[in-house]
Amino acid sequence: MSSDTHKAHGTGFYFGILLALGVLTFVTFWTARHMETGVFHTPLAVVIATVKAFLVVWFFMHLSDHGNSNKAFFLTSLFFVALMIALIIGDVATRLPTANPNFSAFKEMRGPW
Amino acid sequence: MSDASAGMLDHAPHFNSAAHEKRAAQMGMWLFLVNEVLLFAGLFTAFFMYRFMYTDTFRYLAFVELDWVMGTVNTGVLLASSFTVVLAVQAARAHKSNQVGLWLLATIGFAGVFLVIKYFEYTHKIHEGLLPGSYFSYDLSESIARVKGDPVKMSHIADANINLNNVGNGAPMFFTLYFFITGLHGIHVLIGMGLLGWMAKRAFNGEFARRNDTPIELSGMYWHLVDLIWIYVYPMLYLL
Repeated sequence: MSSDTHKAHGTGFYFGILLALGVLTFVTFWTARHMETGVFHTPLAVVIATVKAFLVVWFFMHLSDHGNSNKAFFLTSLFFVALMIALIIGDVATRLPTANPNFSAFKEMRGPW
Repeated sequence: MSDASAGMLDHAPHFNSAAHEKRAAQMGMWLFLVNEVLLFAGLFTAFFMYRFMYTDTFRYLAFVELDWVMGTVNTGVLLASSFTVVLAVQAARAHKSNQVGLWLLATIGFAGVFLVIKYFEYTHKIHEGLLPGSYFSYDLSESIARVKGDPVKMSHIADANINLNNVGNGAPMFFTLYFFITGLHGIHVLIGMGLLGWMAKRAFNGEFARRNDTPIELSGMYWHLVDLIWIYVYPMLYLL
């Protein structure tokens, strides 16, 4: 029985991951500040951040060889985070406009109510 | 319990083997990190909710009052620090205890750079009165007037579809969330520095030459989480 069950990745491999994270940081910046992405502005940044988070968790934190129960823990927590944010934003987005503290801005955004 | 058979590692008596003990330790760490994720998720949810309510104010403040250069440099610094932690874990697996210590010191160095940059950001905001709640004493209308007189900034604002007429309400809330999120993250950086410093001391004492890389791996995971949180904080606060 040995504890050395890790898949062997060399320093070069991890440096590649670091470079990928750097490139993705630049992509986040460019798409958020210098591109017309319309309604995808925020979702796109969240998606890129999630790809970066995956690289960190999977390779840097070695979740890839930490067993299925640990993967399940982490995915479950992400699922509940997504649920919490989606439901709360969904609530705020579908309230009567007058229930919003910044009603004047909303009126302008959504037309004549 | 020291085992007679070659290649076996010491382990606590209630585990079958050292590998079993290691898996249990990893699982405990993941459960702790999942808690941390949920802790920050509460703040992220609050941020997105208020951003949805005060979209123009939040976006204006992110564009004009936060320094994206400092935010981006700090992102790079934290990514680099994650990389040096990976190298420390690698050295621990190769039982090179001194190397572990050196990579951990490099990580602590990066963490220090991160905090120095954060210090400059904070002092600037405190000086300008960009503060939470009733401590907010910044003249937003003057800031808007300044932006209106700057054609480059105005074209950025126009490209981003920020309506300057709606900027105002919710500004103190932006800084409540800014200081809460970056402050809690900063506390994690400090704790991480302490933890890694302790590990570096143990490494220089030669502890990790004896086939025990679990403490380095677990404290490394904590440090990666600090980086992970920042990966979301950076676009959320500085860019969007």
